[in-house]
Amino acid sequence: MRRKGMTEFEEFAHARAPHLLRSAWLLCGDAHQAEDLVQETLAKVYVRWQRRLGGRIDNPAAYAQTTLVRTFLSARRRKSSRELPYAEPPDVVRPDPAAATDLQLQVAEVLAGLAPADRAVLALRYLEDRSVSEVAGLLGISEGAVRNRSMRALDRLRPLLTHTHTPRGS
Amino acid sequence: MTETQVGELLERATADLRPSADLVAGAITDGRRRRRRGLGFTAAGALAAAAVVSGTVVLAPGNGAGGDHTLVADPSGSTGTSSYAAQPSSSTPAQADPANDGPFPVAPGAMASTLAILLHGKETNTSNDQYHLSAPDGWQSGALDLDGASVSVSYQHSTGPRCDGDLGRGDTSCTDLGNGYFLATYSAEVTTVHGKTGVRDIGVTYYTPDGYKINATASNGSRTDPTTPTRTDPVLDLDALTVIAENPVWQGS
Repeated sequence: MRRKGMTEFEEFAHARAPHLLRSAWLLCGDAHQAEDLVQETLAKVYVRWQRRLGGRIDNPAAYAQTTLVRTFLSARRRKSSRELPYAEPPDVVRPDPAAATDLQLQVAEVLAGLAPADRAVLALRYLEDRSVSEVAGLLGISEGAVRNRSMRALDRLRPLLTHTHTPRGS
Repeated sequence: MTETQVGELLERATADLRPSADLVAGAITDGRRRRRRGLGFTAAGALAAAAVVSGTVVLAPGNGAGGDHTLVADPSGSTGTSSYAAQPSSSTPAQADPANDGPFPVAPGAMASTLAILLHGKETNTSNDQYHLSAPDGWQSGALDLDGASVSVSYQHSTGPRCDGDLGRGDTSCTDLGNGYFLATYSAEVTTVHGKTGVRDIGVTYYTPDGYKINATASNGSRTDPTTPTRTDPVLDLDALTVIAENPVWQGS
């Protein structure tokens, strides 16, 4: 049931924003930039939501996620990206030391060494649980390229996982 | 290291991230601004269409043989020549229910009047507005008389290959506009059942990434007598028809 005074879109946006923010943080490596990215993403989804042509969005969550990644990557590709505060030069991932947890800082450090497309693959494959072929289609790259980028990202993450992952029962 | 472990690691690293209280409100404000900008573009597009079309008419005045002539685009997109047959390529009988708003952003009954606004022209005949909701993917059209010749616009769902359906028409070209948009143009003469070459119609088909095709056509004659041109050239040229087909009003934005 819809909460009082809330539109269908608002309800969707409130429900989906936390997840989008996590993905956005993996892409940007900074909470403030991630917020800006999510806000722009939801604004785009809002416009599409209001349009009647094409009917309803079949899977709003997937649509928003795709919009998020594409917005991030296209901002990176644009030479002039002054409107987008999260569009820093590639490879610049700035954790907010004051707000971040230790793990966040460590992951952000790993992300800083990855290309934007590698981070997109990481977010889609392991946070969104998308298949290799889905990620390839979404990013417009081959499945082989997705696997290569995944491998590169995992190689960087592996030491972190070894240090932070404590098996249950141990 | 399994995929699950990686997923868990990323979940833990981002678990305490919380959207700010005004994130959604800000997104909606931004979305509304974007939407208004889109609507502004619609109005500008309509004005541009009117300007272009008006220019065309001024440069190519008609012969004064006006009347309640209408032309309806054939949406089948697969015939060798353009046709005046105002039916979709379907064996299902056409349905016309004025009470139904139809599946498209512009309601069936508003097709001709919307076209008239874009043309700054007079809507002389609305009886030929048609829509066929039972046809595959739906189809509807509106037409009007302009200076003794017919202009029409129609649209339908089209999720198949872009442009393929129109390549069978004469003088057809198809351009990939990028981002999922395509524009096909065609020009064809209508041959009557008596074998006499009749009026000529030209048209453009604008494909959107949302799976719609918007078709705008112009003729050098009327539907009531397809064997006798009322003017040398179709009443609008391809550029003017392109402006009409690409107008965002048909896309509901």
